This record gives sequence, C-alpha cells and structure tokens, in this order.
Amino acid sequence: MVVRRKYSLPGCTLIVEGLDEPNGDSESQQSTRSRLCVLVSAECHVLGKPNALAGGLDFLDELVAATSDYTQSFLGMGKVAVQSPQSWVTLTPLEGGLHRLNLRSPQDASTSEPLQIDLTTLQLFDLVDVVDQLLSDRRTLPDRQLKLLPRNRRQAKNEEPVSQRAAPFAIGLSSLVVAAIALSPLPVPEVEQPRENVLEDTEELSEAITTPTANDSPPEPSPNPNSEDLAQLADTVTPIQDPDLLAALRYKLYHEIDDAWTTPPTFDEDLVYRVSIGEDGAILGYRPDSDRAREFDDETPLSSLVYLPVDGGTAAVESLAEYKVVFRPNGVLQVSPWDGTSRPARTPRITDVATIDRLIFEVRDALYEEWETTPVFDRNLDYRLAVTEDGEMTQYEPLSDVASVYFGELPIEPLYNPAAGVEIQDDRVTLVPIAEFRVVFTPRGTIQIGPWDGRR
Amino acid sequence: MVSNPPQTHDSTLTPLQQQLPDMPVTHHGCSRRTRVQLDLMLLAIEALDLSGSEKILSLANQLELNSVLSDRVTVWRIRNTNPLRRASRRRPLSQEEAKVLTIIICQLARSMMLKLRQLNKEAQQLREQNLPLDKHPQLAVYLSRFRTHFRSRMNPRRSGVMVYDTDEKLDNLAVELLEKLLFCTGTAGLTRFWVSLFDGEV
Repeated sequence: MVVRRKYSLPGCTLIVEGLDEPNGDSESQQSTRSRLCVLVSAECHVLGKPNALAGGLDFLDELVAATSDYTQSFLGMGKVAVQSPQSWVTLTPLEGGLHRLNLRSPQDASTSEPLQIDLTTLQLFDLVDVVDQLLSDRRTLPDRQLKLLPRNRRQAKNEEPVSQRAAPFAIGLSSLVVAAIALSPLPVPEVEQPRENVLEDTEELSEAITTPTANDSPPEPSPNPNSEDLAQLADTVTPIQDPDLLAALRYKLYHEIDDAWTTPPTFDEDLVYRVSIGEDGAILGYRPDSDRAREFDDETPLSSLVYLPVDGGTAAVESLAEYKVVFRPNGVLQVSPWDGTSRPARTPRITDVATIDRLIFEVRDALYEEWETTPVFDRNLDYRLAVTEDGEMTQYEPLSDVASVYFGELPIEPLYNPAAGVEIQDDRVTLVPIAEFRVVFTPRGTIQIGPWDGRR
Repeated sequence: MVSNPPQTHDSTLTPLQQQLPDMPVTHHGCSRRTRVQLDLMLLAIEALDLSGSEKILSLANQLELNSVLSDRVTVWRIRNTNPLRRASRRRPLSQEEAKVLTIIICQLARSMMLKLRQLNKEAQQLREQNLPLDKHPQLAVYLSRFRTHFRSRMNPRRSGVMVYDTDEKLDNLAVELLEKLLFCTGTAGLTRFWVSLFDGEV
C-alpha cells in the first residue's frame, strides 16, 4: 500500500511517499496510521522558491546529514560550510545572515547546474524542523532516527576550513595587542619595590627576572606526554621575537587559562608551569616546574587546553614562545615571559602643565567620589597612577606590599580602564599620552595627590 | 573518534533530563564556551521577557528541577560560572546544572515561539533592505534591553567582552542569540542545543 506523509511548517513542507511493510502484519493493519517503511520519494518545498528539493532515500539521508551538521555548527562553534557524506548537499553561510543550499543529484551531475537555494534563517529552521518531525515519527522510516554527536576537539580543528581557523585569531590580534599593551605596567622610574598582585588582570612583566632561563632548567619527567618533545622543540625551534606578538600571545594565554580554571584551589603554594605556545596561540605543551606543580596538575586546566595535532604526532612548529604560568592559592593567575625579558612599549607623557594641573583635581575628585568605605588600614598607602588627558586611569601600581594588600579597600579598581590607554586608527595601534601621579591614601580617609616627577 | 555517549537512565531524573545524553565532562566542569553560551541565552530570554528571570525559577519548580535550581542565589551562582561576568568566580559548572539550564532555556524559548519567529523575520527583512535593526519597534526594545543587560553584568575588561564594544556588535550578538533561541523551539531543539554545547569540546 502506498503511504503518503506530509510534514509542514509555515516556511517549508516535506512530503514523503513510500510503501508500508512488505509483509504487512496485523499490528500495522490495526493502527490508524500505517508504517511507511520503504521510501519511494521525498520532496521538500521551501515557501517562495520555485524548485522543490526532491529525491529518494539517498537524497533524504544526504539532506539530513547536511542540515544536521550545519545546524550543529550554527548553534555551536560558529557557522561553517558543510557537505553531506556523498557531497550531494552542501550548505554555506552567506553575508547578511542567509544560508546557501546546493543540491547536486548524481544522475545528472555532469549535465545540469546544481540546484541552488538561498534560505533565510527562518526558512532554514523550518527545513531542519520538518526533517526532525519526520525522524521523530516512529511510523515513518522507523530505521531512521536523529543521531547527534558532538565532534571532539581534534575533529573540530580538522574539519574547520583553514581560513576559518586562522581568521578569528588574526582579527582578534589587533585588539589583543591593544589590551596587552594597556595591561603592561609602567617601567618603574625610581623606586624598585617588590610588588605583589592583588588583582586578577594585573600581570607582571618584570617579575620573572629571577627565574631560570630556558637553557639551565634541568629536563624532568612529567605527566604531560608532550614534554620531552617540547624540550627538544624549545632547543630547535626559533623563539618568537616580535614584541607585539609576544604581548598578544601572553594576553591570549592568560585569558584562555583564566577562563578554563574553574576548580577552587586546594593547594597552598604557588604552582609554576612552563608553557610553550605556537605563533597561532595554540598551547603546544607544558612542564610543571616543581613537584608541587606536578602533584596538583589535575587542579589546573592545562592538560585540557593542550593542542592535539590532527595526525596524532607532534604539531609542525615553526616558532614558539615560552611563558611562566603561576597558579596562586588565592585564585590569582599570573602569566609572564619564561626568560623574563620583555620590552614594554614606551608610553608618551603629557607635558602640558595646565593639563596636568587640571588632571590632578579631576583624579582626586573621582577617587573621593568612589571611596565610600572607612579605611581599615593603619598607615599611608602609596600608589602610582597613570591617567590620560580625558581623565581615564590606564595604569596603576602599588608602591609597597602593604599598599597592594589593601588594594580592595581603595577606589582604584572601579576607575581603572586599561582600554583607554591605546587608540586604533587604520589598524595601527598608538599609545595615548599619559600623566603620572603619586597618590597617597591615608588612614584618616584623605587623599594626597601630586605629579610623579615632583613638579608642581 | 567520538563514541556514542551513553543514555542517562536514572529514576531520580525527570524525563527531560533523561532525554539528554551524558557528555564526557571532567571535574573541571563544562567548557568555557558552554558556560558563556548558557548564560547569554538566558540573558537574551530576559531581554525578550522582563519576567524571564522569575520564570526561570518557577519553571524549575514546575519541571521538578528544583533540586538543582533551588533558589535565586543558586541560579545566580550557576550563571556566574560564565567567565565574562563581573561577578565571575572560580567554580565549575557541572553537567547536571548545564542540563537543567538547557532544559529551562528550551522550554522558555518554546513559550515564546511566535515572538521569536516574528523577530527573526523582522531582523532578516531589515538586513535585506539595509535598514538599521532598530527600525522595528519590538526588535528595538529587545536590542536595547539586551545591550543594557549585557553591559551591566559583563566585565568590560575581559577580551571576550571587549569584542562587543559598539552597539552594532552587541546588536549582532543579540540577533545571533535570537536565531539560536529559534532553533531551541524545534522538535529536536532540546537535544540539538545540548549537543551543540559540546561540539568540538569533548
């Protein structure tokens, strides 16, 4: 008996025709709806499009595979072009939010142009949903069901078109450079004080100076399978030299780890790791720097962030950079160059005396306005602040340990806006001139402020 | 290769929870993208429906998911696993929590299916005519609420937030979320959305 089924939504109708079970048993006779078991034809009409998508079971399978994969990318990592297994159906994202569906039937592949339909997202949704309705209908093609699986990290990397893979980082680079420069603390002009971080996003550049250099750290066993390759890599591969790229990579690494670090720390000492990354920002491997770090490796997200090469071997690396990554027991993350060298950009200074005088009052007023808590500290806290002409605070630096300890009590964080420290024009990054001030917060709740170089 | 994830069979779970296959999630919890995505979808729902945040809790009660989403503070804590949030803290998002948020998102999306269809249609038409998205009053309300929610709750110093530094970029994100919510309303929307959260992450 011929069975005809129709699944429809406002934008799309799917009509399937087929036969019920060849040796139709009594069960299917009794049911009000007979079971469509053998598909003869499937026709898909998209509203407003003259050509129907039509074919047999192979066509339906191909359509299901392509729309499923495309929807998964759409909902998940971002739209990418997909192709069904036998490449009859392809779906490609277009500018302006449209989706191009191409259907090539194998019979007349050589003779005719493939059928091409541009779908709006609503039409795409209706198409996906009529197909899902069919698949979830137990009385139509019971052997066809929706099978959804997430791709693993390796597949996802592999299946993305290379251009797509490279694009996000390349695009993001300029803004990363911007932020990285903005976050770099000033070179300390006079007082070289030990400094301590109290804020997650403040990363220290100068801190790593005392750490061992790449050449004198002994090779050591590690739970990370890549580590031996890594040691060789570090010796044979050119280190990345470009300071902008190094800063951008460090910034990217910081955020990648920070975002993935979800477990509250149970360790009570700093965990230090040496992490190697390629110029595309992929984490190629890492080595714990101490027994402690090895022991608590599981609490850090590093192992889940290491890039897995598609072929299962080592990635072909042209150049890499090494960073010192420190997980602190208070949940603070620090990332600095492993060999301790870095060249922070030299920020231009505001020289106009009238502007500096105006800024002194603006900064003081802004700080008073934000400072609502009664001081709990018992001595003066000294800070160096850098401010742009518009009064945006782009950098700060505690000048003593005690100043950094009480950072949370002070009205600095709400005013801190590192992004104001740079300007982008025609894709060129320029540093905004700053004025520097020494600011003293006293236990009586007053604020003293003066120019950093003492001129008044 | 990915192996077939086992189907959950636990009598203490609701049928909707059982419908979602278990994913290989470590003690670090769900990935960054999963945490960001779930929170942003809820943010879009709140921008569509002012009572959206109350509905999250009442729906959790109705669907007997309140063992996971018991009160406002729990919802807040779970949503703050989104690293882009100002109040983000180090805390993993467990698979069960992610499942419950997924179910809530899809149910709420279904309840506003007509509105989602309408707004998606309007957005598409405005794009085709090269008109600004706020030409359509209902869409304009949604977009401006979404921008306000996003800016007040997300940490502007995170690189993931910095990329949305203009109204236009935030509007595009808001429309993208509208499209994703539309797909959540479908016949297999719940499973499709759930699996997509782990695409390329397992």
